[in-house]
Amino acid sequence: MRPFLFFSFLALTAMVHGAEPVSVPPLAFTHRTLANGLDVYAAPDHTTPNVAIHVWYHVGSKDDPAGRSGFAHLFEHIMFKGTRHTKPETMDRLTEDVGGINNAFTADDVTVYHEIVPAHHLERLLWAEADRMAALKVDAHNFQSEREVVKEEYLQSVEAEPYGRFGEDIIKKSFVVHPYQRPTIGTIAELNAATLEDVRAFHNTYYRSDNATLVVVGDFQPAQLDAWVDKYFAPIPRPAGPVPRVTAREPARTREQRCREFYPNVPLPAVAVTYLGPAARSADALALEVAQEMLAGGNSSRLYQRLVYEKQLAQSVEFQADLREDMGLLVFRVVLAHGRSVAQVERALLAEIRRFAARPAGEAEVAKARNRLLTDRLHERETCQGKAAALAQAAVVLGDPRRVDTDLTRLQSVTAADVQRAVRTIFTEQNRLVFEGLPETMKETKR
Amino acid sequence: MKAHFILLVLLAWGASVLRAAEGQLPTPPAPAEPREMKLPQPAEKTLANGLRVVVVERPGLPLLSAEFAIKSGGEVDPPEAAGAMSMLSTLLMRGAGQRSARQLAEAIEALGGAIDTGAGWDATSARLTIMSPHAAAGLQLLKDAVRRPTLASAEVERLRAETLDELRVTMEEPGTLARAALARLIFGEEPYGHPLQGTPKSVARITRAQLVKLHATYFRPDNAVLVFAGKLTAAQGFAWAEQFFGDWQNPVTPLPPGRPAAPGGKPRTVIIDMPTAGQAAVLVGRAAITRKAPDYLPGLVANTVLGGGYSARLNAEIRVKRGLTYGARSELGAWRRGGCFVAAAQTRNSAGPEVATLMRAELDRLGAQPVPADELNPRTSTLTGAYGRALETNNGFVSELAHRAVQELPLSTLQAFPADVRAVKPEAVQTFAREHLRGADTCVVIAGKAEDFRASLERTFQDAVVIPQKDLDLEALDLRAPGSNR
Repeated sequence: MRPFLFFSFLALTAMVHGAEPVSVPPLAFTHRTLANGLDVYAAPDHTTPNVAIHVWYHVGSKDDPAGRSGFAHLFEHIMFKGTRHTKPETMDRLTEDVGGINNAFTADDVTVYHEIVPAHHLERLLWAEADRMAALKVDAHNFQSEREVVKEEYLQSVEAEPYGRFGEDIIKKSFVVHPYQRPTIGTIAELNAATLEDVRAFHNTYYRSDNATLVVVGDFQPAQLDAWVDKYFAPIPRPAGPVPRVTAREPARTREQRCREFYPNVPLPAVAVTYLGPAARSADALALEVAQEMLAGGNSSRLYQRLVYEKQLAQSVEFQADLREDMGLLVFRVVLAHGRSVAQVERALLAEIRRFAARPAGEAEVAKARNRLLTDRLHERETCQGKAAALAQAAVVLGDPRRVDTDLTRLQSVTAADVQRAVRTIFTEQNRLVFEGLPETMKETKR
Repeated sequence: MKAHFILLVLLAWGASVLRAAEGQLPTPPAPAEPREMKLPQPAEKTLANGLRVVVVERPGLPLLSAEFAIKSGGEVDPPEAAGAMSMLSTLLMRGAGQRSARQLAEAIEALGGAIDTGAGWDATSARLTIMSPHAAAGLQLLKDAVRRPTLASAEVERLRAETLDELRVTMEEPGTLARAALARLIFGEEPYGHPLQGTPKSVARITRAQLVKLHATYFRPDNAVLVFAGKLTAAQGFAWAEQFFGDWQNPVTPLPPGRPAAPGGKPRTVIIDMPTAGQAAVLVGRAAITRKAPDYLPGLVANTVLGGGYSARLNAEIRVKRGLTYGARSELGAWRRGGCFVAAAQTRNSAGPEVATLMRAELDRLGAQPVPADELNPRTSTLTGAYGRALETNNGFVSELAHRAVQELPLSTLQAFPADVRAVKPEAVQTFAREHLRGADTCVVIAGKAEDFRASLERTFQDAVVIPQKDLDLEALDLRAPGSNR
């Protein structure tokens, strides 16, 4: 219950190849856990007139109920549709109407609600977040209307977007057992099947104080914040019993898999290569983040240079090391340049991946990636919103809030050998899925 | 109060029969006293060669942003070469000074920095973002990119192929296609009537000679501004400006005058029939005002009331009330020689005409009655709040200041903007809507699967022209490829 301050006396420093070090002020924050299990992190910042409030629930699309793909995300929308004490859209009245903003997002492992408001509105938002944690109540009309909105979101992001369905299929085909195979947005049929009873059950099961983390960053007095948190969040009772967790374990891949789909709105052929990888808390996570930057993080990155620039084989190349709570998925996505053959591009991509895994890179290439990542993290710290997100990510996903600072130092010590060691065991042939997304017009013609 | 709250919590869900007495329900606590937004004062200086330099000191994080902006953008693309300025802006980083494209990318990225370039309307910019200890090295690269781009033939051809591939993808997006078509309907020939990136036909035509001439003509210190924000002093910023750009001479020839805008005229409804579209993009728009027009602020507030946020009228009517879209928005583009208002949403194919009708009705409602104070104040707060959040970052400062410098507006409007917005009267908003946003005066573009909405289209937009996607020509004033069937 007592606040505990994490001190960090060391100024973090980063070396840029042959230049003076850059020092980064640590993010000084406090942490306490209420009797009902709610974790509260706070970091005052008086350089801004605003305050950012984040509430992270440890529930995501991997927890969608059976036959209700897309439900965690639909539920996220429903959280704005009223409580026993408030009308729908009350969050907008308390934020947008006073010059603030609110939003939310659903990921595989977490659902995040966040607001930025002029600092003198902080108490009202704490009240409102506590209110919807404790007393959500939505009527049938608002439920159905919002479900239509989510179906439009599905159409916009999946059906109307070139490569939208291809992107969904990459995820579906990459997992055999684990619920990570379900796209967060769900399907129209399973969204249509959802009921108000499902909403009630989901809230009872997952939207509880001991499954939530509150983060507040911005212009406030810590003692005042503590008093407000005690007033609004502490009375929320802690339900009995544990929060259910996904127990499915994805089996290791044993041989290379290849597949292909045809789509109506894919103007140029595309290829995805995926590998299963470690969980977010893996010791290799930072090395994989550096690998991501080295492979596809800028115009001097390897894949951009080789596939897009030098050989002009690709219109675009992306690589993401998406490390999640239970396991990771590393995804390469290439859209071909006009007139190139799928086989040729696949060969070139796989050759680059093999080369990356086979030999450690030069130190300058690794330093470049580290510097880019450090700059990104500095930019994140320009705003109270960025700081709140980073702190919450460290606390909830990485399991140690101090990593918001310590990762900066650790990141700067990642070596070429670390990167190679991390990727060598992942980028293997047997751990590989090669998936082609082709224009429908290619069905009739030879590849 | 607290006990009551706990009781309600315990009863949550199961308690529909146990209604608490009205008036005793918890309500949000009152807000505290507002705090003042403190904005740093920009310093400015004009070098002997005419380059205007603006610096905002923001001590704190070791970061710096520097934006070099030319006061000419896609509106100066040569006729027949739409997309040339956009292409030139990308080529700035594809080889400059002694460095190849690859060496330039290596050099900036090794510093952990970035130089992002792009062409908009009225402005083409190159923005450096970097950790402040490496600012001088980054500025050297920025200088080369802006002053000495190589513009090698091989790079022009490479970028042409890349751009054509990118257009192959974006021209399959209903929203992108509809937007390009609407600009042509609103502005006709030029200067704002083409897509900034060009069309597949124009990009195929652009020559290296045109790009070299575009650079020689418009990239000159008396047509440019340089804005710094971050961890630096004003004196340091001015010294860097002098060091990297002070010896840059203007050409002896004067800057060519810009072409006047010639809005295309009559309201029209065009359907782009995309047989495989998963959703329809619906756009309603018309020519509006310039950035320096006296009614710019009422126009900005009118746009905010209509489509400037989640709670604005378009989204409230189309998304919140009817569940027809994931988001409906509007924007007011206001430039040196013209401007336009555009409302946009994507919806299920079958609802395309219904959404367009709803949008037009909202435009008319804004002109019919003054916005009530309890709606106007929240919406202007949305506008000033977003402004305040943008100014939490160095990039936010350089964007706002570069915009003012490029449009030759007083820099004092940086501080004055929130108060100026709050001073806009409901009558001024209504007058603006009546003069510039009449629904019947708008052009409508729906890009989607026409088969799914043909019946409702015939009821509501009898004059609609349907153009199959394969016959669409973004260069033609009527949007039809020559020789296609009517």
